[in-house]
Amino acid sequence: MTATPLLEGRNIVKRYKLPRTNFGPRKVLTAVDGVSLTLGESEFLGLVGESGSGKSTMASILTGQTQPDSGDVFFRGERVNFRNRSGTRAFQQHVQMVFQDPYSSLDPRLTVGQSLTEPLRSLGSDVDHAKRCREVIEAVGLTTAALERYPHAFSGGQRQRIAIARALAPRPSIIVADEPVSALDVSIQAQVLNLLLDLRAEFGLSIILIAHDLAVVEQVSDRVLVMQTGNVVEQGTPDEIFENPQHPYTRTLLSAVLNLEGEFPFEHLAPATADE
Amino acid sequence: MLRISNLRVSIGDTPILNGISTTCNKGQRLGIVGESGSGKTMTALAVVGLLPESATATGDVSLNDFELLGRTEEEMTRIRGRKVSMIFQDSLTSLDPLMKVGRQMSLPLKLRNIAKAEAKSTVIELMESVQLDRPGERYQSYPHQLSGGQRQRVNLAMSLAGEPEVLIADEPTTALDVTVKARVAKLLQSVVDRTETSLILITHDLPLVAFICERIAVMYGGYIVEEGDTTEILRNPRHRYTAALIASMPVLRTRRNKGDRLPSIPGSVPAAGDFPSGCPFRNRCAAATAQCETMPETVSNGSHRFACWHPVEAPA
Repeated sequence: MTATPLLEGRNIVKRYKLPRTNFGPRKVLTAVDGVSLTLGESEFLGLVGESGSGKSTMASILTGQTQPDSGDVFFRGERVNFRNRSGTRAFQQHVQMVFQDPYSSLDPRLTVGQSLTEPLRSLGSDVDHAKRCREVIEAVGLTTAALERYPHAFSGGQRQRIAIARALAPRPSIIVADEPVSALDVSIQAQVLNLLLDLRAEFGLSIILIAHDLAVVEQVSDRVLVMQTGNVVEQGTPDEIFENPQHPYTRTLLSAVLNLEGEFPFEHLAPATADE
Repeated sequence: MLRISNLRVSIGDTPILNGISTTCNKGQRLGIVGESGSGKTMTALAVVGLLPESATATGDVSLNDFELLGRTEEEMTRIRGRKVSMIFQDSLTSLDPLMKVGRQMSLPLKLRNIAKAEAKSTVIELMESVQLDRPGERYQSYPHQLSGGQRQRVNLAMSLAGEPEVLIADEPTTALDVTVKARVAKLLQSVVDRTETSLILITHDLPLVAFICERIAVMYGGYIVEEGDTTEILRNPRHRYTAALIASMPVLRTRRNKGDRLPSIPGSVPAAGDFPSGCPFRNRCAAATAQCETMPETVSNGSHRFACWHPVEAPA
């Protein structure tokens, strides 16, 4: 038996009721269908899958924002009590989230400094807010002058740095980043990914990166989970997943990746069977 | 043949395009790549006559010696769809949410004077041409009932319904999932190939261009900084920007040592009007010198041309 994982999800299930229609019984969508996963200290975990695979629902559960229908989340071996507000609050201090669109995830009417203190205030943290703001804004490679300015004064890449700084403010052990670079230009994507790698090295952060770009996930992750329709279909090191995929869905995903040689995808692997 | 020569566009006093020149032959597939703010979408909008009202454009955009620039909206309405057509990134907002897909698809058929009675069968044919499954059923669907990939197929069919000579596709696959994207890309390629439509593909996705296009024009700061044969450009880029862009793109199965940083381009693309004088890339370029303060001359080597004072060494 190895050490207790930092974060663990066991048999997590989440269903959503779909809107009522005129015909038949109300349908239920199973977004996450019994997923178990672990995250170690300072681990960089990549989560890949297409729309509807349940990866964003997982992110929401693992950050304590959504209560699973069944299954448990453990943080440092302790079960997170989703029914208890103070329980989820205490948990949320350790897991923070970064979203895809840095244009809509920052309040345009708050200065950067105000945005950065929001999680501190909502978590009821009594640390010196101004001091913490200066620390985190510098940690993401911006200057303290940024704190007085509004989001509109920053480019997409800079805004994503601010969103990461906000996630860092409560000093979490884990950052869950849901498609953090897909809205950014290619040249900026690498800057933001490098920042995440640096933060892990500097603060020992564990990171869950959710992305549909397989090449991005391959380059930064220690371990990769492939999700399809609410299930983890394959997991392993990047070498295992990308060099020797076992599950047909992983193979389909990989075979659809275009490369600079302009080769036809699906050429050497089984064609996709799933409907669009 | 579509010919763009010395196209300049500015909004107010802010220059957006600084003299774009390129051509696209009949049936040719040209990819225009670059980051946001490089001017690629403005170039496309100038061709289809959809520039914002505050924009002023000079230069020439002509299709088989028929001038497209400076037409009135009335004239452009007759030209769009028949001579030039465009498909956008967001498949949902490109369609009318209140109109069934079948009826919507029949609208551009008026351009071809197809009688109403025949419209339905032609629409079904169009649906089949873009491999939309169960066309009979889709005919009666509303856009929101289709998936992103299916909607983009509908948009593609509609933009080709008027049998245009040039199709401009602006990030047509960006919002799609990987496997859907690959199939839509394949479809786009085969459809323009079959109909001999010239394609201008606007994207930041280099592998997509590698897959679909024969030629690439790389844009930065409102200039085409490098242009040429796709394989040549991607294998042996000469302009520093092109090389940096290719290097910063994550490629599957590229082995890195754990802890290595990913190659990136420092800084970010400046806002329009804030690009440095001379070479627009010089403030982010590792090889820039004082010489770069003047605009580099364009060096042509066959069909490959680039404008860089310190080009990447050509392979021996």
